Amino acid sequence: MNLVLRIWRQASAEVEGRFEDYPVSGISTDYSFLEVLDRINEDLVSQNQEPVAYEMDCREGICGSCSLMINGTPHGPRPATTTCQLYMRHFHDGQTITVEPWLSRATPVIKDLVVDRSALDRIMQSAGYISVHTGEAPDANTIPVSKSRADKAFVAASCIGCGACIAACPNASAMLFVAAKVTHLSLLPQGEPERSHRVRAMVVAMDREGFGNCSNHYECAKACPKSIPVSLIARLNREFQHAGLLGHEYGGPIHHAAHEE
Amino acid sequence: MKRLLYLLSTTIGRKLIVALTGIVLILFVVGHISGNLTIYIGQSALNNYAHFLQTSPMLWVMRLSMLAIVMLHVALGVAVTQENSLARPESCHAGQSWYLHVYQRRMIISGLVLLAFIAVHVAHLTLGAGIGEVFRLKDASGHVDVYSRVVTTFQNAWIAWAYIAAMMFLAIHLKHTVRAVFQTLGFSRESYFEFLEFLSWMVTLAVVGGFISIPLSVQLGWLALL
Repeated sequence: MNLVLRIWRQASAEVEGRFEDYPVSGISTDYSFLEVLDRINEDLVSQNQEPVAYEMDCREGICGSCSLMINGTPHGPRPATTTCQLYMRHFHDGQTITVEPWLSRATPVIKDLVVDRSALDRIMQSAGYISVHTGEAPDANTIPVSKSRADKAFVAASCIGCGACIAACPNASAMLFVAAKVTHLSLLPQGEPERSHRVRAMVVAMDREGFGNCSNHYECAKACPKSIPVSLIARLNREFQHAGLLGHEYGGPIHHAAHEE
Repeated sequence: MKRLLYLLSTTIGRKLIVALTGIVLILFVVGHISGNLTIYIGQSALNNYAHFLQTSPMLWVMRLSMLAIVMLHVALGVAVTQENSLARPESCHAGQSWYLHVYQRRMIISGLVLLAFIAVHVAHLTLGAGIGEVFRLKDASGHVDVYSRVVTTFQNAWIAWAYIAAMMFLAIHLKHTVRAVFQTLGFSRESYFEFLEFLSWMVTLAVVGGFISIPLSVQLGWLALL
């Protein structure tokens, strides 16, 4: 198939970007979207031109590196699909495809299609973990977890942190990402001790990075390559309200009188 | 207290306040339309209802609390919207049409239209601006004749249609809020989503349908001065 890719080119964060058209021919319908970009880059390199910068790593839909806005949709038109797992059979011959970076204030462009997603890392560093002593792995089933809880936690844990939710959101909100990360730990016994601290710290970190607010458009879940449901955002709201109103981090120490003669 | 102030300093806390004040406002419009529908029972029913409200010892408590709640709702709504436009400075993606952009901004647009409507509505029907002599009419039992105020006002086609247009913005606002309130308050059962969507439509159609029916009935001559 023959295609035209209209790609956002921007040499660095300091200069203005613009769209440029790249015609490409002889594309197999079995090419992945990234392989088309590779073809364009091979041509550009052979002509001594600057190749298009884009991010990728595993190419099997699990690492969360690929991040392209394809025809206005993060990861392109297919549901539950990352860019690397999007195949050209879902496009038609002669089509012009617009490719943009995932822009928001909290994820600025570094170059061409590459944006700085370290804001997501900083949210994770704030509290997106459990504090345990490392050592040998415990025996299986020493900590009981119900099947339904494990399933729910797994749905949340399948978030690959790509940031498609932020790119899809009209407010560039990171609520779905934070909701997934908070939920998967708060549902499991290992995450319970730091539960209220975690949600508070991650929401504060999210606010600090300059992401927007959820205003219930639910574009995030439609764009999510792992189909994280928007009900997790409601759960994040509940976790946060619970931590804010009842969490033991606030309100000082418990009154506990010592023995006096 | 420290906890509450802390909640307010976060984005989720601010939206929680918008949602909680929104619930009061939803209950207010539901109560408002229930009262308005007494106009179909007759002149004395509406006037008696209005008399009951105006002589209530809670009148000013209610008025001032509603004013405070509306102001809080609007102030935080505007603040949240500003934060959101800051977070996404590039307003349009390729392939994103202008009407999608307007649609995504529908809450702030309809909200500000409704704020203007409330100001005009209170000035007009409660304070009597632009109504003239009808404002001072009393009915047979000596109550303020709200019925005649309403019918005289809606006999003006411009006012009737402007009112209907404003109610369309109420419909846009209300349709979004009923389900969103549950989400923001943390009610997350997915099996309820369809029911909440249905509830959103029902509340919107019932409330807005009720409000619109009155100017339409006056315009069609079904409600007239007695």
